[in-house]
Amino acid sequence: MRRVLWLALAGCQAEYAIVAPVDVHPDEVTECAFEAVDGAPEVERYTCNPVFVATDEPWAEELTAVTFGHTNVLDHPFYQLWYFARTDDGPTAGYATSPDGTSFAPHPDNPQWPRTARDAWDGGLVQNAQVTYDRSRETYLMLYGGISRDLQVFGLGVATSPDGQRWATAPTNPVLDLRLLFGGVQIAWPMALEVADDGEVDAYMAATADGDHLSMYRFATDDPAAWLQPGEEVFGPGKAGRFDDQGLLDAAVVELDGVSYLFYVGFGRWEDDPTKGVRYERDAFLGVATSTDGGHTWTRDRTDPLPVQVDPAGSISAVTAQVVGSHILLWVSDVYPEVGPGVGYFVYTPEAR
Amino acid sequence: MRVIVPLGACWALAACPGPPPAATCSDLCDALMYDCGYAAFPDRASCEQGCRYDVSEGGDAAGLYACILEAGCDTPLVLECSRAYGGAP
Repeated sequence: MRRVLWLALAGCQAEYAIVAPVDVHPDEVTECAFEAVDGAPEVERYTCNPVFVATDEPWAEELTAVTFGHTNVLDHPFYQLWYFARTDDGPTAGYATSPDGTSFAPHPDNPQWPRTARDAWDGGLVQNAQVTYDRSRETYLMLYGGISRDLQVFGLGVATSPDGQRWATAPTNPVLDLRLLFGGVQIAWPMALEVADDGEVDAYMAATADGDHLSMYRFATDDPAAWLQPGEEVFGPGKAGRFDDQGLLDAAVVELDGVSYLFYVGFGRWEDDPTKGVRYERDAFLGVATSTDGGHTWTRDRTDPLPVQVDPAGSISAVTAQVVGSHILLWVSDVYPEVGPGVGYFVYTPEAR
Repeated sequence: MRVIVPLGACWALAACPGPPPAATCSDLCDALMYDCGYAAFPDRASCEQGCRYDVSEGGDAAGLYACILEAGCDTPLVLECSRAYGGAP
């Protein structure tokens, strides 16, 4: 029997060898090259940035949120882009795909977003949408910040899609009323979203305990349409005088080789507009932190920003990250000269630090 | 021994992850790289390695190929084919 078993195993080895995953650097498939970024050997910048400004779709003139994802085909990434626009009929959404991460083709059936009533809690605009694929439920999952037309109602919404293009909002929306304290903090908007293979959903959200500084809180649930447990603060503003001492605007969390990476937009000051009763973040740059305990505690990798900003005054507003092979791909929303708001493409290689 | 050998062979068939479907991987790469012209694949070797890896992770290359033929180079549909039949996350 031992001989037969050995023969069987030998048969396996002869017939089938272990196949390694592919590890394609983005510059192998893009039209333009990547170049080193001074002061950060772990970062490369795409030389034809920005890779996304807007589409030619007539409804997409005023974009309010942009986020990226990817789906592997034969272990090679194809990129996905979701974008929201404010229109006279309310918020609406587009979906675009790209084989190389730089040129995106809008879906022919755009726009697609459930029609909202004029007085709906999310009838004004959608901001800070976060999308991930939920393997346990075989659906795309989205968390978004919704705002009413009169800017008086702020809520957290959930939407799902079978294919990334056709979305349905949850009947329990808003799953959280963001005008109210939840777990002792005021949540501002979702920053990042993860779904584990067992279906647990982790949302990282910007929230404030003092009404002035924004931290990153982690909230967990087994049901994305029901958020009942208070969150824990997992990452706070930088120390006084640092670039991020006022707090965090946006974040992206990815894991590579057992280390979690947090790319975050940190900002240094508020600018108030008393006539409109709103405040705007200023001096916003990109930072990076790491965690080895699954994202419960984070350590800043550097006290200064990653030097990827286009506008030296600091106009970065959002970041999305995706792990592809041994690289982390970053899409960073910034303000480009003679272009305006646009999204730049970067590669972050941890082992080059 | 005549009894043991067939049992062993069955066990072996169950344990082996299966041979790489070379013809199907070749067909898949033809479809994606040349028929659809997708830039995602830097070269043929990378495409076929990715295909073999996908199969080793539980992917159904034949099912994927049939789905991609049906999708007809419609990229969003191709992505959904990979969600349905691909093995690597």
